[in-house]
Amino acid sequence: MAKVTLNHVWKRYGKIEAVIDLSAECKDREFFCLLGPSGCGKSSTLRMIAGLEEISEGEILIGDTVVNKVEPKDRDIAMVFESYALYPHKTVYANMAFPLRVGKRSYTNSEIKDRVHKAAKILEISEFLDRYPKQLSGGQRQRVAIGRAIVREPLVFLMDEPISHLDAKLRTHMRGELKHLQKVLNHTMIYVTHDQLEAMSMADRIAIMNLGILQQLGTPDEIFNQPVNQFVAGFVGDPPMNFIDCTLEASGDNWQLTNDSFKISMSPELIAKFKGKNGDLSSGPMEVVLGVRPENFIITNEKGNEESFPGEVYVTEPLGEDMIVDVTIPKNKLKLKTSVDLDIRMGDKVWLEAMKNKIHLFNRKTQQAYF
Amino acid sequence: MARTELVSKAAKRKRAFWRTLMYIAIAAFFLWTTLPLLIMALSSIKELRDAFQIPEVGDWAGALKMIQFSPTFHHYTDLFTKEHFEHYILNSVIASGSASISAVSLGSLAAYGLARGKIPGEQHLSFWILSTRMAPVVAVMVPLYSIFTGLGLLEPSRWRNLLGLILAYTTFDLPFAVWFMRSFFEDIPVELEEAAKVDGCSNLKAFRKIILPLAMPGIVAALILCLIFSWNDFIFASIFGQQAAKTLPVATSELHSTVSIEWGGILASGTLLVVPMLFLGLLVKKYLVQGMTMGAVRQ
Amino acid sequence: MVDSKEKAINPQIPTLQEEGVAQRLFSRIKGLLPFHLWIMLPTIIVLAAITIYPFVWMVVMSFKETAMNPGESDVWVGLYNYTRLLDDEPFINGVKLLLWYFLLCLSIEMLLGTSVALLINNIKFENFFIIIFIMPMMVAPIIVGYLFRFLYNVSFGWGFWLLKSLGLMSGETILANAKPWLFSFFPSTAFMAVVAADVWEWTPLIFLIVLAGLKAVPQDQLEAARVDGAGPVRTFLEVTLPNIKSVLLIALVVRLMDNVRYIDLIYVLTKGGPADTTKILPFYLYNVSFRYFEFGRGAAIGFILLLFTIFMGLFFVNVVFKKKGV
Repeated sequence: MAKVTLNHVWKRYGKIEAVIDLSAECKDREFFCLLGPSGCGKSSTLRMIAGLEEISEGEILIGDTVVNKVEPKDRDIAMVFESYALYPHKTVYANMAFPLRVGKRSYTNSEIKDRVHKAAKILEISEFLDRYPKQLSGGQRQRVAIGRAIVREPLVFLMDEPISHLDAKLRTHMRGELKHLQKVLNHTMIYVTHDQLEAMSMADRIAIMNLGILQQLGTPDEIFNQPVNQFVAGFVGDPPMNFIDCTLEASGDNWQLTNDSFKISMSPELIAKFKGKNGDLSSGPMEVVLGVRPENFIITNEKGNEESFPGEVYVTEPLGEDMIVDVTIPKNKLKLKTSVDLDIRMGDKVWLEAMKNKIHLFNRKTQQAYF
Repeated sequence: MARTELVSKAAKRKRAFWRTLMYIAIAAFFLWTTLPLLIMALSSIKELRDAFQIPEVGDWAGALKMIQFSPTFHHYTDLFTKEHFEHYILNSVIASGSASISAVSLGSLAAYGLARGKIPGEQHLSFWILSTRMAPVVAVMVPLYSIFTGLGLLEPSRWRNLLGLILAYTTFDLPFAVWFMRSFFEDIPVELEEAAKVDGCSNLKAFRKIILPLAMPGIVAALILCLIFSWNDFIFASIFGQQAAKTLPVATSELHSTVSIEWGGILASGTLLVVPMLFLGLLVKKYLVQGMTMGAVRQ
Repeated sequence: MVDSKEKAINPQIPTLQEEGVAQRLFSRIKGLLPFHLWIMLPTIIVLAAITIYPFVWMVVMSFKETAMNPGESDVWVGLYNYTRLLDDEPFINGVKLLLWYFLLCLSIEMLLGTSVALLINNIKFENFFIIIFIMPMMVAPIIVGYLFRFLYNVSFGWGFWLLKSLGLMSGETILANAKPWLFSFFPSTAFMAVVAADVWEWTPLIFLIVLAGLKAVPQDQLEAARVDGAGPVRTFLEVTLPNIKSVLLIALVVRLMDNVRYIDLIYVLTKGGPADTTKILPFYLYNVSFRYFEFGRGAAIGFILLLFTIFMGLFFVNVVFKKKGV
């Protein structure tokens, strides 16, 4: 078990910069998630940690050792691949025993047997040990891949989108299993995914990347409630946050967010937060982006108060308990999440109100968050 | 509502006509392909006077004579009792066998390197490898002759000549083996060897333990195809092995002297030469296209 | 490289200090080249050793006149070996015949092979027919030569009998310097006889390649064409043909290169005769080098042939890489 440290790491493929000046630390025994859209550099980062890609610049430490020049086989890591990478010509047992047989540490046959059987038991694949990978279902293969990783006690587990090829139901199940497994094994785990739900539900901490650059590093709670910029805010949450262009004006102490359809006054706390982030209105009104999560709207049939604004229901998508409602307001289409009990239909006129303590505000130019 | 016949009788008849034509065409090609081989095999077990019997021109019924004979195997036994064909067969087996094995061993390493390595100028390298195979055999024969003379491989010693043949076949099978096997290695997911490396393998160990077993069908197919190529070779063998290491094709051609052609022997020896290759060809049927097009077309 | 800090993590890994001198030297050498180049090295060395010298020899020799008597040495003649080819009757004849050979062999083989592939594709017993049809490819070319020579024989050849019985032949022998019926500008019947043997042996290859191409035509495109109401001919022209185009091209180039490479068939069937009517360029080269021992002139001809195949090879590689999308 060890921590993993990245110091100003770069990865270049020719002229393309896949990872740009990345510094982060995954603590010992932490479940650490690298999250981002495809091509954001998260996989390159993981592969550099594994030693499968060379590090163009900077250094990576596993424990206290700089591993830049250490070959993968000597890094004492275990990795689960997106495609599982099970050896098709070996049985499940032989697949799982392989790292024990070829690794630097030598194990006796009975030790190997014990470890494989123990891992198989944890993963509930004991009955498949004699089969070949092609005789297994996707979910079973995935378990074997994890099994191959946990038979050893490596310093770090690396997982590259390990459950993205499973069907939705199994994926939900495996999320819980993986998190449980990590807590039971109590090992350091670096987990790459493009699925924000996986990251949010499993990770102790998440590093969100985009275009090779680390956007934000924090706990799921921090990422969700205090996104540092519009990218993070928009990437996490389903359906994603609504962004509404508006103008921030001040007349004395009365600060207002205005738009064609609404006028929302800002509380003193929000003004303080805004100023705390170097927000400055002295040179006149400012172009900003208001961010409201779908669940942070109050939706009513009648005009509730002065700050409610009208909209027309475009479509409703009931999801059992919840319902996603698309509402059009001038210049924008909003996605709202409400209870399915609410009696609204396509074409209805509704009134919306944003929950003020849950709103986010971004600089329209830099896309950085004020709160 | 009355059902309308969508397919008219005329259309049906037309389809039947084309279908019949199709079967006739296939049958014709079938005969064209098989008859020469059949005639060779049958004639090789006939007395010469039977083999030389053909009907009068236009006497179609007389064609039955082809299968009216009493079989004899003396052409085959003669090859061994009078001509030492056992030596020539052994030479062929040794030369083509060793050449195939060495071409495939060297070639599989290079093919893997080409398939996986991100080497600058990889395209040029692979083209160069290919070009060594494309060279017209006759054009390079003379310089090769002088190299082989320099190496002492052309002196009249069976083993030296065999070694020369093995060397010649190896170099001419090698580019084929590389190009052919490369497509097999490219088909093996890179993740497998990455997994092996993370699991604790060195590059070489990952190749040996994971890649090689998975590429085995391709390697065996390459081996068999190399075997067929070198076994069937005549030009190299006639120039480099002529002295003391005659191969089966060369020995066959020597049954054809300036004064006479020993048809019995030639047909028997031809059958001996062809039959094992037919079996091998059957074994690698799946890979023949890939093989003959240097991996460019997959079956 | 194992560095000393590594030991802290993994006590089983020996450090540099514990390695012997030999091991250290080994890892030093190993570091010189990436692994993938190391494993290609043996092949590169073998191929270079056996191909570079012949290539250089051929270029140098093509500027020399070979000494005919022992004791004399070769004479530099500059480009003479090349310029003399322009009025070298057998050479020009060889080029002409080679072009004829390409034209006849390739057109017949392509047409026949493609047709048979189309006929066989997806019929009953397809596998059986494939097994039968590929047999000729396995036969050593020299045996094909003898086999056809046997069939062509005037007094006991079944092929001769068949042609006569069908009324397709008027001449007394097949391997003759007569013009075939109808086309007086065609090469001799002997030439056609060689072509027939080549067609017999190599049509199966085209057949097999095209069949592989046909299997790779996306089923949904064919179904879409059927739903759209296209007949078999239209489907072939607009769906199948574009899909197998690159495969056909590869088949063509492979056969072209092989036609230049091998001379076994002619060696046995006609030895270039009668009256040089089957002496295609590669076989003429064989005569120049191995019968007249004019290595200089042979080298010049060989070099020209080599340039031709290299050109074909470049074309081949381009098609292949384009197909792969590299």
